[in-house]
Amino acid sequence: MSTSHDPQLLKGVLSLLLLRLLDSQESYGYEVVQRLRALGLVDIVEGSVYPALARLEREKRVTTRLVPSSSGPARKYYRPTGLGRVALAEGTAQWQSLVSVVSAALTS
Amino acid sequence: MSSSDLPSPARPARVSVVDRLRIERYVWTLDSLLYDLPQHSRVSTRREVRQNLLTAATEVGAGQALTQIGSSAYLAREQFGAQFGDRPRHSWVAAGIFAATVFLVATSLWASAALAYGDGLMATGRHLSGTYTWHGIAYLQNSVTYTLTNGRAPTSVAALRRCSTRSYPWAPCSSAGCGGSCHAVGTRARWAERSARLARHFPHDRSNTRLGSGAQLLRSWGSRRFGVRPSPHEQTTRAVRGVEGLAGEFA
Repeated sequence: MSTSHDPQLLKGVLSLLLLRLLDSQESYGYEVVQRLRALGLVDIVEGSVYPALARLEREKRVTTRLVPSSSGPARKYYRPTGLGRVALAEGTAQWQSLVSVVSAALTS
Repeated sequence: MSSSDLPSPARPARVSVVDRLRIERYVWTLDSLLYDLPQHSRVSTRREVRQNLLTAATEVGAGQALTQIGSSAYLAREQFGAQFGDRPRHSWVAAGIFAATVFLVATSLWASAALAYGDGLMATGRHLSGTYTWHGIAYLQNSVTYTLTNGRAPTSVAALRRCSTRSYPWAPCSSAGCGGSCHAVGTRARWAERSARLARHFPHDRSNTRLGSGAQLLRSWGSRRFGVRPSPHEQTTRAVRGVEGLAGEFA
C-alpha cells in the first residue's frame, strides 16, 4: 500500500509498530525504517523513527547493543525488553479495540 | 540473537568524500542543536545518525539519504522530546548567552558611569585635592573612590584601574538579580519555545464558508502557499485510509 498517511495519526502508533517489528527481528535504526517502508509506510520520515526508538529506550521498553559494521561505525541494534513485550501486547489489544470502534463509527 | 545471526548487509557501495562531508555537515549541525542534551546522549545520537546515514547513502545515495532523514531542526526537536518527554526543559545555552550578554552590557554601563564621575572630577579644576566617593547606581553598583592630590588628577585609564582594583563594580543585589534572571531565562526559554509550538496547533483558520469568496480565496492561497490544514473532508479520508492501513499491519 503506497497511500500517504497522516503523520499525526502515524505518530500515535509508531511506538507500537516499532515494538512489533523489533519483536519479530532485532534491527538497527535504518533497517527499521526500511522495514516500515516495506510494510507500506513509504512516506515515513527517518527523523520520526530515530527519536521514537530513543524514547522507547528511555522508557526501558527496548534494549540496545552495538554490533561492529563493515561499512563504518558500529550499528546500534534494538530489541524489546520484557517491559516492551508487555507494552506491545497491551498496545495491540488497545489498538484492535480502537479500530473496531472507529471502523464501526465510520462505516455506519 | 548473536551478531552472527543478524542479517549481513550487502557489500556497501563506496561513499565519496564529498558525500561524507555532506553527511558530517548534517551530523554536526544536529549535534550543535542538541547542545542541551547530556554528553553521552549527544555522542550516542551523533554516532547512530552518522551510521544510519552512511548505510542509507550506500543504498540510495547521500542526497536521497539526507532528504529522507528530514531537517536537522526537526530531528533535534524530536530527540529533545524523546529525552525529556513533553515537559518543559531548561536550556543551558539560553542561560549562558543571557548571562554573558548581561555581564558585558552591565559591566560596560557601570564602568562608563564610574569613568564619567572621574571625568567630572577632573573637569572641575586643575588643583583639586581630596578623596571623592561616588556611591554608584543605587542597589546595582558598588561605590567608587577617587583620590586627587595637588591637582594631579588620574587619567581615565587610572581611574578605571582604581575602580576595578578597589571594589568589584557589581553590588550584591545586582549579582543576585543577574543570577536569578539567568535562571529564569534558562528555565523559561523552553516554555517560550513550547508555547510557540502549541500556538501552531491552534486552528489557523476559523473562517466560515459563508464569509464569502474573498475568505475562500485567501484560504486556498494559504493552503497552496504554506501547505496548511487540509479540508475536514480530506482529513477524514486520510484518517480512514490510515486506520485501515495500520489495522492491516496488526491483523
